[in-house]
Parts: sequence; structure tokens; C-alpha cells
Amino acid sequence: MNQQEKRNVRGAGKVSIDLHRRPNPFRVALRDNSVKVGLAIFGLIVVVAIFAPVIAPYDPQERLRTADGEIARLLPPQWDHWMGTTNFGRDIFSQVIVGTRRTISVGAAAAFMAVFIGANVGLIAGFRGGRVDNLLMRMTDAAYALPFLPFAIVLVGIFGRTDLILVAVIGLLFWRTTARVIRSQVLTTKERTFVKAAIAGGASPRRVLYAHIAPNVVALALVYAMLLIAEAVMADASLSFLGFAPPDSLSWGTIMFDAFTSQRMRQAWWWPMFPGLALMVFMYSVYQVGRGMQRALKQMDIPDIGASARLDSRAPERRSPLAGGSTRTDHLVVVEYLAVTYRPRTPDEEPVRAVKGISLRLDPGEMLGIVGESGSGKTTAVRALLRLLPATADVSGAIWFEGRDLYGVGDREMRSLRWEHLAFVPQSAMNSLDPVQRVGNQIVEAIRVHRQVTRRQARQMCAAALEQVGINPARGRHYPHQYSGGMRQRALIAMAKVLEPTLLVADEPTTGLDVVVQDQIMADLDRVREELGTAIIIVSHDLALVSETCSTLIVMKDGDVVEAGPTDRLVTDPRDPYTRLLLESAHGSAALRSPSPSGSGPGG
Amino acid sequence: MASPSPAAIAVSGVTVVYSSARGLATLLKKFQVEIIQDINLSIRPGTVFGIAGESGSGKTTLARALTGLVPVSNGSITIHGNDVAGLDQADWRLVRSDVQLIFQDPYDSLNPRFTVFDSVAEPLRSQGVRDKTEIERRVRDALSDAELDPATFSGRMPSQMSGGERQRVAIARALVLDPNVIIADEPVSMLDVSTRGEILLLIRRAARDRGVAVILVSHDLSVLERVCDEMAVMYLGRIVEQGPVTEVFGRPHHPYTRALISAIPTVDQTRKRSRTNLRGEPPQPSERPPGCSFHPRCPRSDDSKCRTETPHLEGRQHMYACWHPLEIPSENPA
Repeated sequence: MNQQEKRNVRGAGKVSIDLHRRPNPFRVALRDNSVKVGLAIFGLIVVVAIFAPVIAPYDPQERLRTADGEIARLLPPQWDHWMGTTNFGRDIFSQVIVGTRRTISVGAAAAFMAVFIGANVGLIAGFRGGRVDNLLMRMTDAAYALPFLPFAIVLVGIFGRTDLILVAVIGLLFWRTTARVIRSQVLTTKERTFVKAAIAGGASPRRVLYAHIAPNVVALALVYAMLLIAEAVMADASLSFLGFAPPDSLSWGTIMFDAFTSQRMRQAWWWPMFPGLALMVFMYSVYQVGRGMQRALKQMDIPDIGASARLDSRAPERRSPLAGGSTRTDHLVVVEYLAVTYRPRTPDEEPVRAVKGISLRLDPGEMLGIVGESGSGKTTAVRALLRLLPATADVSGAIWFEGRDLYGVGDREMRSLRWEHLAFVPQSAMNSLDPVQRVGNQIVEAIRVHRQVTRRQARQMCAAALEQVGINPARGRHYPHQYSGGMRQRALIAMAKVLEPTLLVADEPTTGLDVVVQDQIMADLDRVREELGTAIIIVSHDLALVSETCSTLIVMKDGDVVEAGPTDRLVTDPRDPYTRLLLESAHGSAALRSPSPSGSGPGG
Repeated sequence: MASPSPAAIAVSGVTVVYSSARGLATLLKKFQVEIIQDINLSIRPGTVFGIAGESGSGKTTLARALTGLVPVSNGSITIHGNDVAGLDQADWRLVRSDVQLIFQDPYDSLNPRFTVFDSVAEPLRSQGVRDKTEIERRVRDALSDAELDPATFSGRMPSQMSGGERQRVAIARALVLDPNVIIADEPVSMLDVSTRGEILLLIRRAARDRGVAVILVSHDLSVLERVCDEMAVMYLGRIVEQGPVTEVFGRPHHPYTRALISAIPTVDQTRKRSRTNLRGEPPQPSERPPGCSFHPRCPRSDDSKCRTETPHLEGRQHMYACWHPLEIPSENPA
């Protein structure tokens, strides 16, 4: 293998990984530079609010006079008043600084009130469900329907212009989004097994809600609290600008209100501009932090593809188990020294070497089983073969498919290879079918992307493919949710085989299915191989299952191949202790089941 | 505790009905579908009882009915002498300490924010135990019984443990209240093959040592074969065969049981099994075939009796519900 082939390839795909250790979302968010900047600005503004009287050069309400005793009216920005002065001779810089206090405290109080109401409504609605949920959600709808300004005018009209009323106006309206988001989060959390376990353990509903559900929702509530501060500050500024603030109060909004009512705005551009600028900077910082946290939380929810092998210090063992004297163009698939390392997502994580240099060869019509437990790297290895690894994966080694370097082809060529030459049956059939499209249509569309055929011809191909996997073609009109788990998996096999690919990769095709259905699916795959001469790779944790249909087996552990060879040899004469262990656990059940009374050990 | 009834849990004539309609139409018979039908079981303390079946066979519904998570429409469930079938959710909470659950997914069944100690102590606290030293003692005992060193594991978080270790914590949590019955729904299906064996052995040992009756639900017959004393095979909500595990596996009488057993993959190269002769999948409970529910898929169904008359369980120790059973012993089964 020369240097050129050993180059690093970065996989680009949609799949991502989740190591079982969940990093703290706030720490993940903090790695984002925009969040750092936002948090720094936000912190600075809070410090300014606290020390406002010390920082402000003048008393914001004092009418300043110039050297010649005149009131310093409408002075443009200059050295002494670098944001200028107002109509009444007040220093705008001092006003903005001191106004920070009221702006932030009213905003924060309103946001707190909104989050408090919203979180509780969401928690209770989601948790109690039924009539309570219905009632609370209709209330939320009502809150959405209330128009902000008329609501403010009425409340202020009745109760007068006080800070408390402003807080109430904002707090009583803005809880609605939080309530909805928290409710849906509660609905998901409620279905998780540990909540069921707590209920089964006899925990009271109160305890289930506040000890088990609420803590798992709190991160989301904090994100919304952050975003709500921005909204509340904006709402307060708008209300103040419209004159709803108490008469002598000072906030960014009231400075703009004064500028507006003085009718001197056109001459004194600096008067409304600086408080407006302060508002903008504040909003920017809060949004940066809030959105960053939101992104971090989303990132945490990405699915797990089971790479938990940890980096160890051993040198990578380079094995080429199926190597012969042939060249890489003689075989359908040639994998040489394939290694995959996942880069850490946070600085305190170690890189994960999921696959540590494996090699294999595959010929047309051959059926290969890759066996291993979770963390063995089997899924990562085949995903590398399909170029479906996440961007955090570093791939090295070489993969040759039909005589071409698979990592040398462009994205467009790769797309045309997929399905037509290189088909994939993923693990979870439910997630792989589009839930809102009829199964038949999905297969027809897949055909028409790759082949220049009429819709009618595509339909015929689809019907034939469904029939071959034992699905009545009439059921192509049905949606995936109308299929059983086994039928979905078989529909995916039909979709994978319809274009007669040269290689079909099936990742745990029968996991979660019953033995009878499992048996039927393995028979389907075997039939595809026989009829089309397609080479098939089956990834499974079940040695017994793959040993029945595959002619060659590879046993993987911790990213390495521990043993490889023809199935007959491997199951009768295992050489590696780990293979022996897997065989023993597969045999554990065979002894009793033996129909012959002697029940002698398998293979002598 | 000496109980008048030798069974830790006795189930008699349990039926669960689900209505496919909403509102007033739920009262109409034609919308009512029997998910499980007339289930009779009696499980002795210290034994493991297996329930097998394909998805849709009603095995999970039965497990849930036994834990009060699904309301029972008919029949009685007697746990430790008390009939619990008619209890509502609030009353169920009082008998929860008698029936504990072990769940399928060890990655989801522990609260990610609780330490091992807190997870295991949770049921005690829920039952109102406040004494700290008692909680500590019972958690320590339960962890030791689950073969986890209390000193090492008490402070761990779920994220720091393997699937097998998490499932041990779940077992400790089930044991901590000293229940009479533990129901384990597919407890090893999400674990690695090499750890399955030890977890199954642990469950069996816990049953023996603590005198708990364990009900183990699984679609994987090889799992049941390894730990159970007795087992039942369910099809479309009914038990079709029941008996000691060695009997059921050694001499299956029902064609369905035999099909299930022959579908288990094996590494044994000397006897390449013939593939199962079952076609298709079980129908929906709402489309239950008349007569023997299994007859449309059954290789032995050949006369009108299968299509018209429902077979009932017969036999004493080894029971089956079939008009054309396999390998029926020539001597009188009674």
C-alpha cells in the first residue's frame, strides 16, 4: 500500500454519533464562539446595570448647564457628552447607563414570570394529559389570540402606569410558547422507561413529575428563559416608547419616548439612536446565547450508532484476513487497513478508535457475515464502506468497489452508485420509510431516480419486487404504519433489490423481530443472492443467525477483527477465545433442543 | 410468610378487552377486541415462568395486566392472597411493593440524573421508608444480591455503566422491596450476547434465593429455555401450549410451538435445520380466525374441525390446545 492510498478521508454523511456519556449542553454551547461573545456582552451589560450610578458621569435627571450658564440643550455627541444631551439638557450617556437597570430588571422579571407560568402549565398539561391538558392548551391558544397592544392598553387603563403592570402584561402573554415546548418535551420524557419504572415502583404522581420529569426538562426551560428575556426587554421597550411606563422611570424605552414626544427627533438623531443601539446590542447578545444553547440541546438528541470503543494504547494491528495473491480489481469489494476514528466533541473527551485497521475481500454472489457485540465497530465499518459516516469521523485506508476507489469518486457519482450498485438495508425500518408516503410510491420514486423508465414500468418493477419478498403488491398502496415490523423490513429489502445491485449491505436486518419473521427475512436475503448474484454483507450480533446463511464470517471485537474465515471452519474449529465465547453462548440453548436423545456436542 | 395458597401469583380467566371505538360506541360489542383471552396461570414462589410468543401474541399485554398498567376486563389475579384485578391506579400503588418490574431497555430505564444508590432507593422512598440507615442497608443488600459491589457502584451514574451493569441495577431496584412477584419483559434482548447468560442466571438465582416468582416474557425461546422452570406459548391472545420447559422444548405438542423452536437459528452445522414452514404473520386480534386461531398458518390443519371449533388446553402437566397435536404420549395423559 503506497502513501497515496493511505491518505485521510473525511466522511461526509448525515449520520452522527452519540457517545453514551452525554456531555453537559451548556458546556457544549460554550464551545461556540458566538455564544462566548454573546455571554461576554450580556455579562458586561449586567455589570453596567449593577454599577450604573458609579459609571454614569452625570446624574441622568440633572439639567446640565454649559460654561456660560445656559441649559445644555440638544448638544450633539462631543467629548463631555459623548452621546449628546436631550432637550432638557440631560446627559444621554448617563441616561442609557442608568436606564439599563430598569430595562433589565423589568425584562428579567417579566421573563421569569412567563417562564414560571409556561413551565408549570407545560409540565402539568403534559403530565396529566386528558381533560386537564385540553383545558390548559385551550388557555394557551387564548393567550396566543390576545393582541398585545389592546391587552396592554386595557390593563394600564384600569390599573395605571406602574412597573408591576408592565411585568404582568408581558408575563401574562409570553408564557404561551414556553408552555407548548415544555409540554411536548414532557410528553416525550413521560414515555421513557425510567419514568415507567418509577411509577411501577409506587412513586406518587407528584414525585414522578418533580423528581423524574422536571429535571430532564429544565435545560430546555432555561433556553426559553434566555430567549424570553430578549422578547420581554423588547416588549417593555415598545410599551415604554408608547408611553406606558410610569411617569418618572428611566429605561431605554422611555428615553426614546422622551425623544419622540419632544418632536426634536429629526434634529437630534443621537437622542433616540443611542438607547436604540443599546437595545440592539443587548438583544444580539441574549439571542446568541439562547440560540447557541438551543443548538447544543438539539445536537444532544442525535441518534446513537453504537460506537463506544475507547481508544487504547495498543498499536493498530494490521491484519488482512482474507488476503490472497490477487489484486484489488479482481474482487467486488476490497477493503484494506480500514480505520475509523471519531474526533471528540468536547475537549475532555478522548477520540474513539471505532475501527482499527481491518481488511476484507468480497466476490459477487458471496454472503459475508460480520459478527460482533456493541462497540465492536461492525456498524462503523460497514457505514465507512457505504460512505455514510458523520463528519466527525476520520477514515483511513482504502476501499475498492467494482474496481474503483470508493473514496476517490465524487459525490455525484457516489449518489448514482447508491441503490443501483450499492444498496443498504438499515437497522430501523420504521425510520427509513417516509411515514407520509405510500410504500409502493417510495419504491417507484427510488426506481425513477435511477432509471429512465415510465411510471407504469416502475410500478411493475415495484410490484414484482414486493411479490418476491412475500408482500402482496396490492399492499403497496398502504402507508408504513399499516405494515408490521417484519413487513417494513421486507419492503426495504424489496426497495434495495429492485435495481439489482451488485452489493447489498444489511445492518442488523432482523433486530427486534420475532424468530419466525427473522427466519423469513434471512430466507428473502438468501433468495436475492441466488437470483441476482448480489453479494451481501450482513451485520449482526447473532453468530448463530449469520452462520446459517453466510458462507464467510468475520468476528469483530473492539474495532479489530479477531477471527475470519469460512463459516464451517469457524463454527467447528474456532481459534480465538472470543469466537469460542460467542459460540458457547449460541450453543447454550442448543443442547436442550437437540431432537436426538443423545444430544451430542456440535461439530464433534 | 406462610400463605394459605402455594402460588405466589394465580391468574384465573383473565381477559383484556380493547375497544377500537371512541366515545359512546365503546359500549358496542362489535368494536371490542379481546387482546388476551381466558388466561389461567399459577406460579409458585422461587420459580421462573416463561411466556413466549411473536409480537401481537398478547404476551406484553398480559405482563402489563399483571402489573396493573392495563385494566383487566374479566377474571382474577391473586397475588399473595389478594385479588388485585379490579383495583384502580391509586389502590395499585399500595400493592406495588408486591409486584416489581424489570424493563427491556437498560439504557432508558434508569433516570440519567440519579446515582445508582438513588435509583435503587427510589422504590423504598416512594413507599414511605424514611429511616436512612434502613434505606442504606436495604439498598446495599439489593446491590449485593444483584452482584454489584455497593462500595464501587453506589455513586455511579447510569452513563458510566455498561448495559449489563445497568440491568443489574434494575434488578436490584426490583429486589429492594422484597416483592413476591417480579415481571421481566424481554430483560436481555438489548444486551450483548456474552452478558445475556449472566443476567439470566442472576434472575434465576434471585428467584431461588429470595423465593420470588419471576415471570419472564420473551420472543426469544432460547432465553426462556435457559432459565425457566415452566413456560407458556401464546398465540393471538391465548395460551396454546404450557408445561415444564424441558417438556415443551423436548416434545412440543402444538405445531406452532414446534415452528417457533425450529425457527431459532443454530450454529450446529451437523444438523442444518429445515426452515420453518410458517408463512405470513399472525393476523390482527380484531380479525381472529374462527375455530383454532392458528389454523390458516398451520401445516397440520386439514379438516373442518380446526376451522370451526376452538381447541382448549388439555393435559395435566404438559398442556396444549390443538386438534392434531404432535407426539402425544400413548399412555393416558391423566
